[in-house]
Amino acid sequence: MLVKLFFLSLLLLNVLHAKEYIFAMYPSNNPTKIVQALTPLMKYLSEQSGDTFKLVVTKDYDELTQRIEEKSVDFAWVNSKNFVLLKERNPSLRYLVTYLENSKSGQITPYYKSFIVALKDTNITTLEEAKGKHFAFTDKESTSGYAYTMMIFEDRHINPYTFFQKVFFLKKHDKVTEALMNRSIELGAMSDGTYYNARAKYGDTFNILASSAPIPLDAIVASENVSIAESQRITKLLENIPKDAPSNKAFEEHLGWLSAGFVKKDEHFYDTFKKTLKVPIYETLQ
Amino acid sequence: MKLYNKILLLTTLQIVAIFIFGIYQIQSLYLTQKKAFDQKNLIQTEMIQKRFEEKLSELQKTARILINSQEVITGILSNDTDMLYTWSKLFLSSSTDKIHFMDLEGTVISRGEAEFRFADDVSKQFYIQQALLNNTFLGIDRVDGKECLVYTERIKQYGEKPIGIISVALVIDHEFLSSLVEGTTMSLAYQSEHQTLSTAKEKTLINASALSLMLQTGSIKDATFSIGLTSEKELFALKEARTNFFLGIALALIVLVIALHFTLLKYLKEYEILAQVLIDFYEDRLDIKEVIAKIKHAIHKQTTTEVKKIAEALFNMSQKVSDTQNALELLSSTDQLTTLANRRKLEEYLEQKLKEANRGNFFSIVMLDIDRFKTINDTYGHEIGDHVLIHTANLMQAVIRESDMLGRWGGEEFLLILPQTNLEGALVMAEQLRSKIYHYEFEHYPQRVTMSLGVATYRIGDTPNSILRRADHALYRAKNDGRNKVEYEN
Repeated sequence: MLVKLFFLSLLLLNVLHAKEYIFAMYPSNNPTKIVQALTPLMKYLSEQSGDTFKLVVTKDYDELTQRIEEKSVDFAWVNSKNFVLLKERNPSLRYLVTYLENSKSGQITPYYKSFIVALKDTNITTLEEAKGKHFAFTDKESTSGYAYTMMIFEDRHINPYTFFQKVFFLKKHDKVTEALMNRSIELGAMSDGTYYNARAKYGDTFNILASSAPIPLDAIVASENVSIAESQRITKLLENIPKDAPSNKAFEEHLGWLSAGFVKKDEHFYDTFKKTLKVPIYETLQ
Repeated sequence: MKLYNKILLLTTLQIVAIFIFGIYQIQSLYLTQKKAFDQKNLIQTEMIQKRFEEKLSELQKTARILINSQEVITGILSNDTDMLYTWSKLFLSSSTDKIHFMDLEGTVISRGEAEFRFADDVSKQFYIQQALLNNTFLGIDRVDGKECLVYTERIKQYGEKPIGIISVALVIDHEFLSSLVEGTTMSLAYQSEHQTLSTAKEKTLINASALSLMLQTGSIKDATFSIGLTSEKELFALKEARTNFFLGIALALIVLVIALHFTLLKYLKEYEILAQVLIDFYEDRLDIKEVIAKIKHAIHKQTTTEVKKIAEALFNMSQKVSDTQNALELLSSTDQLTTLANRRKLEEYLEQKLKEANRGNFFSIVMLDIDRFKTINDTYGHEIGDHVLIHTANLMQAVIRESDMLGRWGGEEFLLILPQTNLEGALVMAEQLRSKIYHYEFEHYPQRVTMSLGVATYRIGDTPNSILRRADHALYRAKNDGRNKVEYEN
């Protein structure tokens, strides 16, 4: 009887200590797909932690940032740029892990790169040879399609708006590939994943003129609401996700991400990104 | 004028009158329809003109909407190909095939119809130069190698500062031309120095006229839109109906006239045959017997009931006329008492025999006279006298041959003409007659009756009087020799 009472008390204590966490994600894709992709991860964390993880997909980045600052969310999935900006504004924000990806190059890395690519038959082999040509970025908000590419130009003291005859913005990485193939532009910026996709589609027809520094992949952060111990506990759980876990499969199934789990890196891992923010903005808006 | 001609002429005139009336009616109908047809074509032409103007207006409207968008302005300023493409794609339609954004240097920033085709230089294009020069251009020019209706306008930031150019174009192709003439019976053709297009299969349009368009002169020379009819199918159908009607009536007229001709021929010919018989009879070319024969023949030949009945009636009438004629003839040549031929008949017959004798035949005559007949009349009365005359005639009639002619010459005197009979034969016949009478016993006359007979035969050059005189002399001699005798000429 006493033994029974002991176990019952333990259970009651456990229930009383169980917490409910809000896990927020930015709308990088269709919200329904995001929910479908992240639900197995939420389930994994709930089961492993004994706590409850509820998923929230915010309207946009601003809402995510606002809610982290308001501490109305406990954990958040943020991209590199947002992490750097948020960390600067909220030093108490705790870095947990970085997303790991099975790269198209065959490696499992927590980062990717930005390439400046030209068609082989244009005979442009170096960036310097591309002077006076037509160039395309993806989007000014893009990390690999703009920010890290601009860092490459900065390192070589190139102002793309004057160096090239004209610079275009094509929004998406694969559109840069298509514009290259249509000979509208001679070179463009794209992520390494896009490059490998383009190679798979069109063969070895591209020259990589320049490659950026590693671009850290998205991070999972915790707000001040979560204690250091809890943060460390959840970090461990995220690092220990098996490769064949349902959460990884769900990422691939619903978002097309070749997920390999998460890895804990140093916070300085994201310092390269801070450099991109210091790159001069050559506004074309007049 | 013959009856045939009269009927044919009158009937033909009536049919021709109907034909002319029909022609007049159908011609009036045709003219009314033609007027309606022309009116319809005019309305359709105006409608197509309106559609064309709407297309031009649509181009301008599309351009204006786009250049008034702040996002488009931003897109031009930042060379945001994707944003400009996304916007222009929304406005592509059947009235807008191409939307291009260019910078002021004429470099294409975006093509709505081709997402990945941009960055090329179109500054040398006429429509771009015109837009840079005059702010706008609306006309026909080659856009990406295709002849288009194109509207170009400079894009201005805050309505003042030029930052780029927009061109909105509609390709001039068969589809475009078809959309303008859709639902109409008109055809539209486009002709320029480079190409010729038409919604019609035929090379030339009927009643073609140029569309009047407010287009600026472009780089394409002699570019014109012509509107007209592909074919006058509707009008042609009307014309065909008219022609068919005319031909139908003409054919019917010819057939009617031919049918009338043959009908008249058939019926009138039958009447004509009968009429000709009557005319011939009237003009003595036919006697009544020949008339009867001809009509009888006609009855068998005629197929028409009416004509047949008329022929039968004529036949009956002719028959009656013939009978009456026969009866009269008999009456005029017969002696009423003895029913023998009378003197007139005997004279005719004698004349005839004399004519025949001139051609080689011969004959004889016997003059007979009842002896003392006046005594019979005086003694027994005229009735007995007539009785003797009748029976004497009957007795002689029974004796003579069928070819012989016996008649009462006058009073108690008879004349017998014997064709193909010489003197001897005549004497034999005379003797037989004398003997027959002599031995006959009369019912109401108790006395013996005798006859004296004088015989004469034909001699060349005889006249009726000469031969009769010789027979009469012979009779005289028989009387003088005691009567009841046969004497012959010397």
